[in-house]
Amino acid sequence: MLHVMPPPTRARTLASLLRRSAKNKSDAATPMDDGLAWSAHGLAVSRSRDAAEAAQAIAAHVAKQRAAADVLHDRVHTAAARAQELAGGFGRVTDAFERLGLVALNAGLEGARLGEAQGRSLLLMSDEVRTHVARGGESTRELTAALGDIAADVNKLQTYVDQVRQGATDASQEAARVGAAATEAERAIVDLGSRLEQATGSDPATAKLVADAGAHAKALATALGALGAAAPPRLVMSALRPILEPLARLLSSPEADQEAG
Amino acid sequence: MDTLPAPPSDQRGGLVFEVEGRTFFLSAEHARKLAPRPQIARLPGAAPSLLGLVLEDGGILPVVELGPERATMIVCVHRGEQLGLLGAVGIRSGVFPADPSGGVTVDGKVIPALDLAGLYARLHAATWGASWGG
Repeated sequence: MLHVMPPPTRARTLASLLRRSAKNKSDAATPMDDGLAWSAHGLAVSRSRDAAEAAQAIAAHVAKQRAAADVLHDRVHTAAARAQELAGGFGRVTDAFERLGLVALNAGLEGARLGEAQGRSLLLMSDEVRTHVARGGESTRELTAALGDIAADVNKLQTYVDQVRQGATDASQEAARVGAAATEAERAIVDLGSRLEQATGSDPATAKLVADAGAHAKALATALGALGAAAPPRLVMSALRPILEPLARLLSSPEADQEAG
Repeated sequence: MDTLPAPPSDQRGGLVFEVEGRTFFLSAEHARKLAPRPQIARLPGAAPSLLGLVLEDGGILPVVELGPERATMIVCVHRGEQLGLLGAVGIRSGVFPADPSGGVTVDGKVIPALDLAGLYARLHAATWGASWGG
């Protein structure tokens, strides 16, 4: 706001910057450029902080994934051990059926020795038991084969889970590296800010004020151009003199000249 | 076994078993029982077909190899001497229609009788006529 006069020191600084801007339009860096540089600097600081926070969040997610994979690994390991125990159990059942089959055949032999009349009950029992033994043995073989397939799948699953765990470990290390790099980048950008402040003599707050003032000045110049085309100059001068004279004095003050020079 | 009642002439009781895809019959007169795989004590210098000796029901009997299977041993009797046959898989036991060849008919198929006497004689010849403890 041009009608609010800034404190004398600030006014001198402002005048100095404005004069420098007016004098060095063709130079590489102007106060407006400083403003843009500080704006870019602020954005870089903000983004590097975002990157560091994102890296931490990724590391936290990966740690959770790793914990879940560890639990899964334990479960799969338990399932594999259980499948092994079951395979042993099925082996014992198969042995028992084989023994029972022998008992049935021996009963049939005994029945045959007694003759069909006396050994009939033994022969019938032998056939009956043998039939059940055959069915039971076949079912046990099928179950054993199915269990073997399941055990093979569990072993594959164990391999996949191990790969996931390794991947989580790698991702965790990478996330830590990204986080460290982002933190380092933020430090470097902050350091760059200090050097920028030394090089330009401005700070982020002043640069923002300069940028704002520049934008207002551009708007004022545009408005004056439009007013000059539409109204008599005398009327324009009389209306704007109370506002423009302090500004003109500010721009032509000796301190401003000295600082700008 | 001499006291067994004689089965009708058109029937034979015994054991049907398989050796390397071939099926044989052994009459109940000779087939005493089937036993699980025994612990065999090998005899150095014995004939290749004589696998060794086993302890069965308190007695020692020689074991002859019929085939590669090792799960079951057929304990049989020939001329009062016990003999173990290893390598067979028991299929059925009971009374079956007799076949003129000395075997039986099972499910319409003729099953020849195992030549136990010939096996016994070959074993004796291979062991230089040594006695098995008779």
